[in-house]
Amino acid sequence: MNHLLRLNGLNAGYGTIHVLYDVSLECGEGEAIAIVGPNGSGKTTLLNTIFRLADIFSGSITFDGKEIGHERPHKVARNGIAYLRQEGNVFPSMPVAENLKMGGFTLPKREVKGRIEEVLSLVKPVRAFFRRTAGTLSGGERQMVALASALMSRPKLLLMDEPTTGLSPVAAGEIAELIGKLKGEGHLSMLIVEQNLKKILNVVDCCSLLVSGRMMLSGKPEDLLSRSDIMRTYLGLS
Amino acid sequence: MASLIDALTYSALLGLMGFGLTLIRRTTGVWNVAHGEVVTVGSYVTLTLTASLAWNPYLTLPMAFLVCAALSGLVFLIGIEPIRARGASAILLLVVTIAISLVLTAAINIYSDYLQNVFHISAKSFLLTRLDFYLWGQPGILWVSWAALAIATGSYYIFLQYTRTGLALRAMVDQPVLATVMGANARSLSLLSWCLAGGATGLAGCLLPLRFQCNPSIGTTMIATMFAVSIFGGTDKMYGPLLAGIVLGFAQIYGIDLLSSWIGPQVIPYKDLIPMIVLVLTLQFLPQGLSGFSRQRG
Repeated sequence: MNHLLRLNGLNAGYGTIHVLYDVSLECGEGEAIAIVGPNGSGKTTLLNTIFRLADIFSGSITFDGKEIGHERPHKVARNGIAYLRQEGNVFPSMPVAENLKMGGFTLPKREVKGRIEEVLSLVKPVRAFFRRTAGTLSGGERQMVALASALMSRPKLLLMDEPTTGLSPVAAGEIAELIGKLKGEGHLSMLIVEQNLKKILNVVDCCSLLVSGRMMLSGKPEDLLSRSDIMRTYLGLS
Repeated sequence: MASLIDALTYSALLGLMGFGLTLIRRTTGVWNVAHGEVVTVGSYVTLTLTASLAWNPYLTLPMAFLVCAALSGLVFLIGIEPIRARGASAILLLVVTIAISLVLTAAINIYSDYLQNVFHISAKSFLLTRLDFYLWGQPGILWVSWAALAIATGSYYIFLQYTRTGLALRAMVDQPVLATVMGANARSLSLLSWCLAGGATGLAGCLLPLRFQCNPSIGTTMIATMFAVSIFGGTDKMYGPLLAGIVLGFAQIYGIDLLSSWIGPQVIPYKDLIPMIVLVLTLQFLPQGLSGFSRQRG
């Protein structure tokens, strides 16, 4: 499998605060990787670092054969990476239609309208509240809009930060189903930060456990789930 | 009638100034104290071109727009962005704009001395009403100030609402980090917003001496009122400062007229206290300003 994303010996954090220690990770084309770990282990920082929203102290990030560790966030997006953030993932004062347009900011202008139709056929529920202002939507609806916006740019890699957290079981199920659908299409690579591994068990090819900013282990999700000691100690699952 | 014209003109100009201040605040999170000096520079562009090249003051509007947009952009690029990029807090950036304001005030004073001493232009205190025209018995500044406000507001509305860059700028205001991860260049958009804000403010500065006495510190003395307009208008909607400019402009002109007729002319120097009182009341009872009020009602 060709490696689309490669993190090599990454040390990163915010200002003088060191969060990630010597983190290495590889994600292939069409592969979905779950990053799991307890609260405060640096999972979100890992995604932020890929997007240069955190500071890189040492190490490298290669995407599609190109070193992107020194690029500014808007340039990272233009390489074909999209980021579904846990919070602040929609433009609340703008209608959903404009949220999607903004999601396609890196596309040529003439392609945006057609891409909106493609995304709406993929994330169907969004059509129902397409004209509404994003700030008036429920948590689940917002997450749908955020996911649709992230898909607008035709990314090669989608970073997702706890996409189901804080949602009702029904909404979380819908989002998990959508992620599964995206995975099924086979083109999109995904890096998913998730507290609850069981929710995305069927979607991911590989799991990596991040504890106190260090990558503890990686493997098949079922292997990780079979390690009751790890599940209990680090993920609070029995 | 003179008071009404004063109030109408002053309101329109305050609206333009407050609009610029709010645009900067919304897009980059900076309370720009140096915004006052941009007004003054606009006035001096008009003075220079009318006195030295005998231009019609209204023909200096595009030049004032360009000079003030460039000045505002330079302030952002040289004074703000390098410090902001290192994670400076909003308070620190406010302090930086105070320092820039002092530097610009000094530069404007030197320039006015230069105009006065070298070209014998009365640049320490000037009023250009004699250059104004009359339409339907009223001074041109009345019509032009409102036309400038309407055209600036309309153009900015069309730009923000119907262009891709405008969409990105609004997205930056809403969720700066999200806009960035979607591919919007935060630095370029911030620079653009500072230039647009400076340009709008330059228009106000250009028109100011056609009705009001100007001097090297005119913008500095008005900055508190501009802050009041911006806060009273609220930062939620761009129409907020326009509405607030009208309310505060009328309150200031008519309020001081009323007070001086009751108490005496000794209160006139304190006219700037009126917007300050409105500012305090707004922060106490309507912290989100007029646009927040309209949202609550809606």
